[in-house]
Order: sequence, then C-alpha cells, then structure tokens
Amino acid sequence: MILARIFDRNMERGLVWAVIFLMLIGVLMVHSASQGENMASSDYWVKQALWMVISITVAMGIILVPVKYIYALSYVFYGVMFVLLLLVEIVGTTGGGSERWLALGPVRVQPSEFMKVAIILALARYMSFKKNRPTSYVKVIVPGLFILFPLLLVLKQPDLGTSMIFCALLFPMIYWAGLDSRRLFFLVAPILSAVFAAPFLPWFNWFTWVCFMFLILGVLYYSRYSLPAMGAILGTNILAGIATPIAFGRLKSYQQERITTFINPEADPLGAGYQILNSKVAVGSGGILGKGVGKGTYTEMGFLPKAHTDFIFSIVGEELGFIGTVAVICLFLYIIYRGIMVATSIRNQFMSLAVVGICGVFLFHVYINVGMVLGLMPVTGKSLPFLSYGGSSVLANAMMVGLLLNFSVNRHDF
Amino acid sequence: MPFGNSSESGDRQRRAWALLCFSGALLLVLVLRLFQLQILHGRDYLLIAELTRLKRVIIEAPRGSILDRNGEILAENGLSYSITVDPHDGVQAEQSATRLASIVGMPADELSERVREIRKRNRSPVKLFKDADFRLFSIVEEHRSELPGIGSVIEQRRSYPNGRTGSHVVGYMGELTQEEFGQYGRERGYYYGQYTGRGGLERLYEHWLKGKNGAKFQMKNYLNRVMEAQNPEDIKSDPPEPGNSLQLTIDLRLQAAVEEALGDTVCAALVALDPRNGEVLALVSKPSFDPNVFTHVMTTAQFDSLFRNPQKPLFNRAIQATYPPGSTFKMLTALAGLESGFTESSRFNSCGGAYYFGGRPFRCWKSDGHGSLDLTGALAQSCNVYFYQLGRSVGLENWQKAGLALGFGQPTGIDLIGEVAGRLPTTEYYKNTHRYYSPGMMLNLAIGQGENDATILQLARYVGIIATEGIKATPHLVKDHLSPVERVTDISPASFEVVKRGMLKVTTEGTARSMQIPGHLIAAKTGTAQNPHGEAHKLLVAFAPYGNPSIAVACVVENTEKKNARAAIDVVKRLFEEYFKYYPDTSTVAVVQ
Repeated sequence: MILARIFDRNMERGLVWAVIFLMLIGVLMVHSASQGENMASSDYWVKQALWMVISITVAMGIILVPVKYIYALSYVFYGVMFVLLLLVEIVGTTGGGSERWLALGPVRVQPSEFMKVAIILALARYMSFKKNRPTSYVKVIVPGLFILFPLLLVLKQPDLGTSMIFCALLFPMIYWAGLDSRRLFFLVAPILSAVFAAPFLPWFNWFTWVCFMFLILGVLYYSRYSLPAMGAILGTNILAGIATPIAFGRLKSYQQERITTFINPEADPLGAGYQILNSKVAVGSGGILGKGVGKGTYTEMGFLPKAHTDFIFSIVGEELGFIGTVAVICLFLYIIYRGIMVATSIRNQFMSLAVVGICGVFLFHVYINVGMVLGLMPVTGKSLPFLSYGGSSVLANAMMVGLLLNFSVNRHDF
Repeated sequence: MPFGNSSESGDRQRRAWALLCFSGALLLVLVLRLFQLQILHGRDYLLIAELTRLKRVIIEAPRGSILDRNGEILAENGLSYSITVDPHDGVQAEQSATRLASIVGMPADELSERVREIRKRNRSPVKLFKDADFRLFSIVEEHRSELPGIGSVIEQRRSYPNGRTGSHVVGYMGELTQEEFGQYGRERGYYYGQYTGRGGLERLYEHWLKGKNGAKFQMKNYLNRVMEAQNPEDIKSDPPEPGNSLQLTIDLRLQAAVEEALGDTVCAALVALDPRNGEVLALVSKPSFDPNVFTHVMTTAQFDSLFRNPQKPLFNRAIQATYPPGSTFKMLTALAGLESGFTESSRFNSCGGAYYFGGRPFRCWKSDGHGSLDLTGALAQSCNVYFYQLGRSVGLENWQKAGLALGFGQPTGIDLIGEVAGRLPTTEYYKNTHRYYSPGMMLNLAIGQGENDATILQLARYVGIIATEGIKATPHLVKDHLSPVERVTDISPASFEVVKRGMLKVTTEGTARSMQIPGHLIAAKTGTAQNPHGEAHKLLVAFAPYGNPSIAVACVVENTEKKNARAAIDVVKRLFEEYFKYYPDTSTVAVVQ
C-alpha cells in the first residue's frame, strides 16, 4: 500500500527529488561546516544524514494518513500546540538568549515550529467553509485571531523570525481563500507603512515612507472606494507611519538600543554584526564557481558561528559559488511552483488552502534565512528548510512536505 | 469536510499566477543580492577572507647585551610570562577565570569580574596577569584544555643580573606609551607596548641595542588561535635582526667594590676613570635603584621608593648634581699661581688661623694656624690662608683661565644623558649676576667655596688632567667609543709636576695620611663642600699610581662632616686596594725603592 501511494501517478515526483537533492546538499554542507575549528564534534553530518532518513520516514508516514483524519484533527492539533506554546512560556528552557525550548524527557522540542503546521491546518479548515470565506475586511478578523494569539506568545519569547513567519503565512492563505487583491493590499499597507517609516531599520526613513504614501494614493484613486473609506485607509497608513518614529522617539535610550539590536543586530558589531559581516565575506569569497566542497577555508577556520545551522547558506555560497546558491534558490522556487500547481489542481478547498499555506511557509523561511545570511534581513535565527542542521524544524518541514505530497496524491478525491 | 471546489477555476489560475510571481520576485531579490556579493564584489570578499585568516605577528628582535670591560653581563634578555584572556571566548572565559581562581587559590569573583571587564572592552587577547610567576604560567599551560579563553604568552624581558650595581650607567627600560608609539614608534619599527630604553645607556644607545623586529604570518582562526598551515607558502617570515651588544669601559669589580663600600643609605657619588684615554672605570651614584623593577609589575612600595623618595635614587649624582668643590679646587688655584709667575717655593704671610681682608677675617680650618708654608706644604695641609693670598695675587682672570682649561663650567661630553655644566664664576658671570666683582670674592673662589659648582665627573677629569700632566680626554663609558683626547696648552707640565708633588704629600704627611696603601704611592686631595642646607659634604679627589697614573678618582659623600669625616677617604682607599689587585703597576714600586 505504501508503494502504491508513493508510486501514485499523482505523486509530485519532481518535488520529491528537489527536496531530496536539497537535503543531500544540506548533509554535504553540514559536513563541511563540521570540519571547522570551533565545532565541538565533527560527526554532525552523520547526524544530519540520520535526520534526513527520519524526515523521509516521517513524510512517508504522513502520506499514508487519510485526509479525513487530518481534517478532523486539525483544530485539536492547533489546540495542543497552543497549550505547548503556553507551557514554553511557563517552564521553557532558554536557548540562544530566548525561551524557545520545551524539555520533554531527554528531547527538547520547539513547539513554535509545529505551531506553523497547526496554524496552516486550522486556518485551512476554517476558511474551507463557504460562509467563512474572507470576502470582506470583517471576515478577515477570525483568521487573524488564529494567528494573533500564537503570535503574541512567540513574540514574547522573543522570537522575531517565527512571528514574522506566522504573520506572513496568513496573507497567501486569505488571498487563496478568496480575498480580493485590493483588500489584500490595504490590509498589508499599514504594516508596510510602519516598516517604511521605521527609523531604526536599515535603508528605511521618511523618504521611503513618502514614496509609499504616493503608491497608496495611486491605488486608492483606482479603488473606487467611497470617500470616507478612502480617508479611513489613508488615515490608518499615515497614522502607522507617524506613530512608529514617535513611539520610538518616546522610548528611553536603552530601550531604543534594545529594539535596534533586536531588529538590526548589525548595530552591535561584536555580536550579530560580526556574524553578518563574516557570512557576507564567506558568501562573497565564493565567487562564481565557489572554492569547492570541503575547501571553504573561511568557514573552516571557524569565523562563522552557527555555520551548520542558521548560517548553512553561507557555506553553500563559499564552497559552491554563485552557481550553487542560485541552484539552491531555484530548487526552492521549483518546490513552491509545484506546490502552487498542486493547490490549483486540488478541488477540495481545505487541502488546497493548506498547500498554499505550506508553500508560503517555505517561501518566507527561505527569504528570511537567506536574506539574513546576505545581510538583507535582521538576524532572527530562522533555519533554512532541508539544509540546516537541527531537530524540530527538520521534523516540522518533513511534516509539511508529507502533507503536501499527501494532498497531491489525493488531489482528485473529495 | 466541505466538498467541492469553492472558487471558479479561472479565478484560481489568476491567483496562482499572482502568488507565483510574488514568490519569484521575492527570490529574485536574493539572486540579485547574490550577484552583487559573489560576482560584482567576489574578488574583494576573497581578499578579505584571505587577510582575515592570515595575521601578521611581530617577532621581537633580541636586544643587545650590555657588558663590562671584561665581558661580565650587566644587561641581558630574560623571559617573561603573561597570562592572557581572549575576549572572543566570551562567557567561557569568565567560567575559566573562576576555575583558574580555584586552582591557584584566588578570589574567584574578583577574577571573573576582571575578565568580564576585559571582555567588554577588547577584541583581541589582553594580558590578565602581566609578568606572572613561572608557577602560574605552568599551571595555565597544564590545564590548558580546561581553561578555554585563558592563554599565555612568553615575551622577552630585559634583566639585570647585577641588580643595583651600575644602575645609573646601564639605565632601565620602560614600555612605549601610546603617544610615543603614535609619534615615532611605528616608523622606527616598534610595536605598541614594546620596551624601550628609558635611562642611562639603555636610552642613549637604544638604536644600537634594539635591532630590527621581524614579522611572520600566521594562520589564525577567529579565536586568534594559530592553525597549522595548509600551504607553507602562506607562512613567509621576515626574521628579526638582533640588536648589537655594548661593551663598556666600566670594570664591574671596581664598581661593585665601591657600591658595597658606600652602602645604600648614604647619598654619595664617585667617578673613577683612566686619565690617559677617558675610559670610565666606575661611575657610582648612591642611593641606587634596581632596574629590574621597571620590567616587572611595580608594587606601590617599589614605586614610592623610586619616585617619592627624598633621596631621589633615580637622580645620577655623578653627573646631574653639582657640589661646591671646596679644597679640591686648591690645585686649580695652585696651577693658576704657577702659571702667573709664582713658584713652588713662593711663600706668603704665615698662617695664624685667619687672614684679614677688608677688615674681615677669612678663616683657616685650623684655628691655631699652619705657620709659614710653601706651595706643596700648603696643599698637603690644605691651608686656606695660603690660598687666600695666592688667589688674591693671581686674580680672577688668570684663575678662570686655568679653570676653563681644566674643564670646569662646561659638560665633559660623557655619553650619558642629563650631564650638567656646573659653574665656574668668570668676570662675565659677575657682571651678569652681581653687577660688580670685588677682590674679596676671589678669596672664597681660591679655596673652592663661593659660587663654584662642579660635578663629580668634572672633578675626576680635573684630577686626571693633573695626573697625566695635561692630557684632557673626554670621559666615556662605551669601550669602542672614540673620544677626543686633547692636551691642555695653557698650563705647562712643570706646573702640573709641582701640584702633583703637593698632592702626594697629602697622603704622606698631609690631611689624608690614612689613605696610604703599602707598596703604592697615591696622590690625593681632601675637600669639604659647605652645605647651606645641613651638614657639609666630604669630598676627595685622588689619582694613582703616582709614578704612572692610570686611575683618577673623585668622590663625594653627602652630609658626613661630623658623622664620618673619613667616609670619602675610606671608599677611595677601598677602590684603590681593589684596583691594585687587578691592575698591578711596577713603576710605583720603583719610585718607592
């Protein structure tokens, strides 16, 4: 039966190969990283290979689960994960400066990783009902609440990366569920407005914010909204834009500093800034063709902390060069492309929405992680799916791949 | 589970494309950034990557040794051990500090607090214990694996095996300050914090002694730990050029004998030189200091004993201090007299204990008087009354001419920094400072009081000129130093000969009879320098052997007129005894026979 499922003609074989290929690159890169001077043990790559086997097993296991069970358990799963996240808040252990871990006997679990899967499934189930389709601003409120509570808990840890992921996966899903692009734009706009006006972010200042305001005015002009509605939207955006710098300015200097280093750790050259600089040097020094597998001297000299986990992409850059980095990004794009194609072909709204959510998670994970390595995004400690060494995120990614494949096999059922 | 497709397929297609375009756009940003980093700036980053792992490490050039004339070591290079903290090891280093504290039995909180401070302020390894003892160094080395973040370095350290002996000649070392490093340090090939000569010959001959620092490239990881080189070509090195050593004219045996005889509680100075060529055999200033203190971590007590000590041990009394030369100047007056037409047998009014001039008595040291004396007799007895009259007859101009010829009022030109000129009052001097000159002033000058000021080095050379009957050599401390040797032309050898005979009488029948050493003839002259601040200083100048002078000495022992009036005589006698052990002279014996 397993074989029948796996060799089903609806199986996304290309996607499977892409994931396996990425995982192999991951094992290779972890091997390179573990040659480094500052690694406690050099057998990380063996463990990573083991994780690869576990991932494939988990994914295959999930392919076998009937869709109706997944559907039925989605709210329960959400509830359980939410409780675990609460537990982290109460009895969590610290790792890397914030509480993210939950010790379950000998294993340490990061519930926020699994919370992503839970949110996707719960949102997909809720919005699969025709009456819950987010066709108006009001109907976005409930899906928003699905995100809000876990988001607040994760922010409190504090884990900026995961909260960004939570936030980001909502928008592709509500869009897929039927929200029109105009409303989507005006939902995202205040967030962008606040971001563009933030004085503590790199590149952003009042100029970028004014440019963005002109864009909003343009879109409003074509939106054919009533005048009061237009005013309300514009007002919200201006308020968001003005409030951020003012609120920031009212903070005490040490609080400002804390926020600045939280959002933009490059401001702290001895800490995360050192890491960013080194990862840029590592990636840049790879050039077009890279230095060759196992010859990434910069990484091996131990200049890069966390080279095998969050900064694995810098080894890809150093050892495989531009060719390698673009290939990895193309593989991710291919996975997302296949995912969206699967979502398009699934008749069932629950499965279709879940697949879009999964694609969204992968997309934002890649963007946040690679953006961090390349110095475009703040250092948030998000791993790169399939490549980074690590437990909880590997398992969560395997679950999501399993779900995606499961739904692709069952795309014509229901 | 709700069944069926809830949105029309055309709409879905459109949305799928929109999502795909969005994903593509987002990832395109990454690709563009990669293009920028890896293709546009790839070479730059490659260069940075190479530079970061190759670090230039300075190899300090071994500093030249300083040796005495017989090759005994006065200054050499030892090793110094320091314990360092590497701020890159972060919290680990603090934990290591606590562990280290428990191993060696120190307060743990204090140590880890210090490490935390270091960690906050620095990026490269910093010395936690500078100049640690070898025990601590070996403990750290032994527990290296348990103490991440704690390291050790071995550096060169100047050491002075003879400690205080000759400290004012050899000098001492000090760390180059940040300011000095900025001003000239880098250009002259120093590294920041390198030791440099601060006093004495260490300072004057810094460039000769220092050598040239070398450098090597080391592969270092981000923790600054040295890695094994994968490619030997990476490790090109530039070997250091060792500094030159310096051989001195000082005889450590004589120097040590004098320093021992003087002890470290008195303030005193002594210069002994070879008058034939100006080689300084011993140059002593007391109290002295231990130059090793400067290359170790100084304790408060050590600092106070050097810098807050009223006796000023760092002050070189042989060349930086001036004393009224007192009766030792009577030879000068005698020479001026002989050059102005007086002879050995010239006599003046006999000494009755005082000489009246302008209605005022000028006293002799012997209150019941010396009676009638000739020149050599007056020198032997150091009769003031005789010299008052001789000086008055000679006059300031003749007297000052002789004084200048004998090297007073100007630096001798010894190779030490800080030598002062002293003061020889001249007609011009009186015009400038007092607006007038009265013959009464000459009376005091003639016996070495008044406004005369001379350094002990000047006095030693002066005696040397007399001893050699006119050879005026520039005193020097470095063996191969070619210093000018002149001849005094203003004074005839015959005059010197008379004065020398007078000085011989000082030890045979005069004021320094206790200086006699059987089998040797010594010429000397005692003196007392009036000290307005307290007890007078006792002076002595001497040369030996009488027949063939090869050593000339000047010595002062401060504030000893009443306590130990013979202090200077005893020290110089001790020096001569030591000297004759190593430098036997047959001519003296011949004269005696």
